[in-house]
Amino acid sequence: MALTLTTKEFPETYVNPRGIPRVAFVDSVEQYVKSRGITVESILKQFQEQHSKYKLMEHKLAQNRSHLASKIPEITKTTETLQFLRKKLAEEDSGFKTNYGLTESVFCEAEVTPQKTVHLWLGASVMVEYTFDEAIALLGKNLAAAKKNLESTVEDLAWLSDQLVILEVNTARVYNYDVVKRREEKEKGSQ
Amino acid sequence: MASKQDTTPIDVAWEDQRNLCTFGRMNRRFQELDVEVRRRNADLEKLTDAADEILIADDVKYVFGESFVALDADDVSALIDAKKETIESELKSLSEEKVVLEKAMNQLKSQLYAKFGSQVYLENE
Repeated sequence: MALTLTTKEFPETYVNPRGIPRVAFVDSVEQYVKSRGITVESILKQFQEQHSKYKLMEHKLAQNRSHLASKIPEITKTTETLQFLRKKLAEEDSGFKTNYGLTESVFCEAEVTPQKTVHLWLGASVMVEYTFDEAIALLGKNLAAAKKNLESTVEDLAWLSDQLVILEVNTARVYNYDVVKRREEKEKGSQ
Repeated sequence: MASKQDTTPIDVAWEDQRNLCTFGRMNRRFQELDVEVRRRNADLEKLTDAADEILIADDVKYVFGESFVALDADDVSALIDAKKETIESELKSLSEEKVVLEKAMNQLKSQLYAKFGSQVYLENE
């Protein structure tokens, strides 16, 4: 089975469709520090700021992902219920009885009479009547949209985590470079 | 981070950076898969228990969304079997992905440990 996007490498030319910026990899720390022309402390401080921005983005995306991840099974459940309802009402002309939840722990018996339409709750205090076919089609569309959204969120998260790792490694290398440089200067100075 | 006793730390090339990023992502995905597999196994157990209970129970109600519908034991068994099949096939593809990931991760691990030795830490604990 092929590795999915979350486990394969992003191509060098990849540009994130949602605009998450790429962190530049530092080839030579010495050259990088010289070219920036500021102290190592300032470089490290900038890296820190970048890091907190990316972390915030990651947090938002993770929330987005869990929201979508919970929506998908709900839509599937509703679709299942609709299909069962349609089948059952086609089989038995007299309807059937069900136990309907009034609240979380109180159920009461209800009779489902044959009907051609269902009402779907669309959120924002809006409920719309559809035929069975229309309803199932709408739910199918919603499910596809949610799945696509989830895919792009997952892709963004993968890209973001890559950038975070690059940033952290950059920080570590600049810090190490500084430590080594200071040690060398101290040794040179004491000779 | 460099410590006082370290010799000059081995620098990170772009190739190594990519390996590190990919390893991180694979590891994360592996952990997600672990959670999913465990959840599916728990679901399967519950379904099996339910299927057994049906044989003893008198009338069975199946849950759709948030309502219960009284159905024959046969219909319910069929519904449960269908659900079990879906979960089992999901479980199979998830486990396959885990195996592929584990192999790829071990390969990356050996590459990274070869280059960086003790300067890199790639375990979960």
